[in-house]
Amino acid sequence: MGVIQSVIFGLQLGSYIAIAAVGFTLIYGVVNFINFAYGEYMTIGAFMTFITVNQWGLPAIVGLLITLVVTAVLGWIVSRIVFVPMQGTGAIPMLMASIGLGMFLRNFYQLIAGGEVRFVDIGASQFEFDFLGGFFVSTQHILIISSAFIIFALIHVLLTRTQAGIAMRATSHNELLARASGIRTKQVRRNVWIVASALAGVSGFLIGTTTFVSPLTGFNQILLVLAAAILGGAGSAYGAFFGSYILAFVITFTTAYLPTEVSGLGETLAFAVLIVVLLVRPSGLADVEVEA
Amino acid sequence: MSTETPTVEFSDDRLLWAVGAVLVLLGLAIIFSGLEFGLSGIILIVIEVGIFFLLYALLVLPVNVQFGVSGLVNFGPVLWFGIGAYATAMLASTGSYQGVTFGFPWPIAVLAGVVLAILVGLLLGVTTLQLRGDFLAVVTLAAAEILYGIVEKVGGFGGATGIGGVPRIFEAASFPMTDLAVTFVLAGVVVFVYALAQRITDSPYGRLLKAIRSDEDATEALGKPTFRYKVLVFIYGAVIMGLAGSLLALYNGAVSPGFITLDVTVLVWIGMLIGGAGSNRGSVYGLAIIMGLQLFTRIANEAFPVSQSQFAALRLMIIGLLLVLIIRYRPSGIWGNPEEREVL
Amino acid sequence: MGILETDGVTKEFGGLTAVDDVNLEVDQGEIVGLIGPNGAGKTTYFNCITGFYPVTRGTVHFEGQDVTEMEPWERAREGMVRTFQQSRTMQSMTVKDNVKLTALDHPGERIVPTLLRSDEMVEYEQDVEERAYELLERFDLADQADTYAAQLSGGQRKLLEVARGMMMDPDLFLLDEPYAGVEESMVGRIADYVRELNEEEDMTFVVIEHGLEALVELVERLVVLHNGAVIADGDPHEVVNDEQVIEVYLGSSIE
Repeated sequence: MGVIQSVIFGLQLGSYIAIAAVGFTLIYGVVNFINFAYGEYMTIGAFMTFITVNQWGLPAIVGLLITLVVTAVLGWIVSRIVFVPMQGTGAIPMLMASIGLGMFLRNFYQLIAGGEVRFVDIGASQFEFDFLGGFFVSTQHILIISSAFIIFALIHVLLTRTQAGIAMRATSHNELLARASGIRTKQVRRNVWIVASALAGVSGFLIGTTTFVSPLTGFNQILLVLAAAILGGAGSAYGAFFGSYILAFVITFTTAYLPTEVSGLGETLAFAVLIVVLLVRPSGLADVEVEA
Repeated sequence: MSTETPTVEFSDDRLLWAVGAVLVLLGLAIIFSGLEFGLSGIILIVIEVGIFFLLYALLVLPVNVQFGVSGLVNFGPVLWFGIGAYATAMLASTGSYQGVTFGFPWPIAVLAGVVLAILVGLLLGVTTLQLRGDFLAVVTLAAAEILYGIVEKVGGFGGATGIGGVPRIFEAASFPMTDLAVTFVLAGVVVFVYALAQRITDSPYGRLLKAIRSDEDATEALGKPTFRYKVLVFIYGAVIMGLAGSLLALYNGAVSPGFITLDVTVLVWIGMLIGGAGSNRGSVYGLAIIMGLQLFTRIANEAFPVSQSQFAALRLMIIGLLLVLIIRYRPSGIWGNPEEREVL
Repeated sequence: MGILETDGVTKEFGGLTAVDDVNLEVDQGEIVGLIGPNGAGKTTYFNCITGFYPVTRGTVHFEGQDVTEMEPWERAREGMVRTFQQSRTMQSMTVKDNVKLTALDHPGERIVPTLLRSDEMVEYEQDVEERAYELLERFDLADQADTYAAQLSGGQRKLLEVARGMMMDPDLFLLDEPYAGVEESMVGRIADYVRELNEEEDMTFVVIEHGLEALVELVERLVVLHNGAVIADGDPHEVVNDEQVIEVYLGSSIE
């Protein structure tokens, strides 16, 4: 496979991981815990792909926008029920609760939708090119990669130009200080849940268009999303974004170039990278301040 | 000035040791006597689930001493479980369809597994135990996933099929008899490990570990080399979990990646949290509740042949819900002591 | 050389100098006060003395020995005991266990005697139990022995920290804001205990407080830190009337 093809696969994988990782890391930074049920928010998005595109026959872009709204609302509701009342109990209890929630949701999906795998057809076309070693680009690739970059731009605007976003960054950085400056941290958290859930949904939707849809779609990616967020620096949206692409390229290039006996080890290598980062520079790429 | 100070007493655990010994001897007796009798289908299911309950109990006790007592968030018990299982399997197997095997005598294989588990525990401990709780959770989790990835993808470790041909040292007159014998032996081992865990927890050693969990810096300011103790607790846990893996390999005659998935870690942690992190007894009871639900669904499934996967899904939903409820309303767990719960 | 000597101890964090070239010599049996406005570097200095922060420059000598490279737990074992600004008793352990914890060289803190429940271990624990009760009685905490530390009042927790430290037979006791968060009625008692221990056991004390007048009655010598550096060191009454010191305290809006 040519280098260009690997780059394209890497960009695709990196893109849908990045979208999820940004949402995940916002929760980590502002609400201060590792949300192990985040994959299940993504899975909602994946099922939305199936519903909107296969069952309702809508164009992918429309489905994406609907998904964005639906998952934002559902994610916010879940957080109100489970996590908001637990505010302040500590990172470990909330992590545990998210593990229980994730288990509940995964199996709930299994119960109502069944375990079988579904494929979504968004009517993608492929464009083939012969130069530079030969490669192809499909509309899926374009959809996913451009979504990631558009979202990154939007998030950037959110975090730097809007009051809500600036409040998010302040709270993430130092909650006590933020509250002392008059920021309503309860509202900030609510906004983060909405944004992060929407991002999870979008990521899940995009995954649904390329691989398949099942109750485990999101859960299969959670470790990678977590790794990307930590690599980037827990709480930093920018770090999570770039960390995702780094890990994605590690995975796609090892899959492409390692001998077949060990080629499946891409993801494993990503975890090794994560461990090394945590040992050498726990503050991650973005050098986020780490409290002991 | 002095009021009578109470005499210091440590709880008398002689009964525990006796019970453990009896159980192990019973199991061995079944094997060596060649005894054979029939067992009903239901009993066989109970035994099957029971064996895994006992193996996981050998994981939950070390994890409880590490987390519940000492405050170390070890999210990778399957790492050491897997090391013990695979090292023993590969070294002792006389020949497997896939994977590299060596055919050494099984005691050597077990010993090697323990040594390897200690080395990994030492390496991981020394490098990561200074990380804060959630980061430590991530590192141990990642390490376990790395092992899983390696044994699943690299052919030398048997890949998805795993390693077979491991000598089955618990073989009795028939499969049901073997399972029964193993149940007794494992039950005895669990009782021994429980007694050891209690000796560590309910003692000056345990007092020190609890202090480390409560406030490591303050404990260090009181003259205790806290980091050393954390690493040691990591290593002791590694030994037990590795041995559990070895027992799995020698009972089952085979190991495969399916035994060391994230699901096992989640099961062990949920069991500990529901039962009461910090309490050795509570952790085992909590695990029993979880496995009990598993047993119930399996038996019910026999009676009502409804879709198996839907039943399993319902069961896991209940477990997930139970965990959330416990964390919200009884964070110290059913058998835990609320006064001793740290705000982490 | 006195029991404690810091030579040129400096601690820098990135661009910020928190402790600036502090030279201090404390003789055995002295009670020295260390004051300064918030942010003066008092606790940071304590952290340097006890080894919780490695010094950027300078040396720390304790009982004639250079301890600059020693770990905090090693220094504690040598007889240098400290308390913390926000009292750090083990909340989820009982008062009695908090004190018993501190016993040094307990066989029960080695794995083999623990697993074997050796006689040696049981005997030592009995001694520890008795010693703990003695200390609890001395500090009037004996009837709280089985209460969880979380339920004590602020002042009682401070006393518990002192009782706990006493288990180690300290030669030097570093108290970080022992009056902070303590009820009025208890402040006097804490001061009394310090004086008592100083007289009876010839124990050396260095006490941090951030109020200007807080330590005048208790200490024989007062040192003032400002921006990490020593600006005064001498008789408490003279120091609190020193113009520069007063200015420094007025300059910081608190107090």
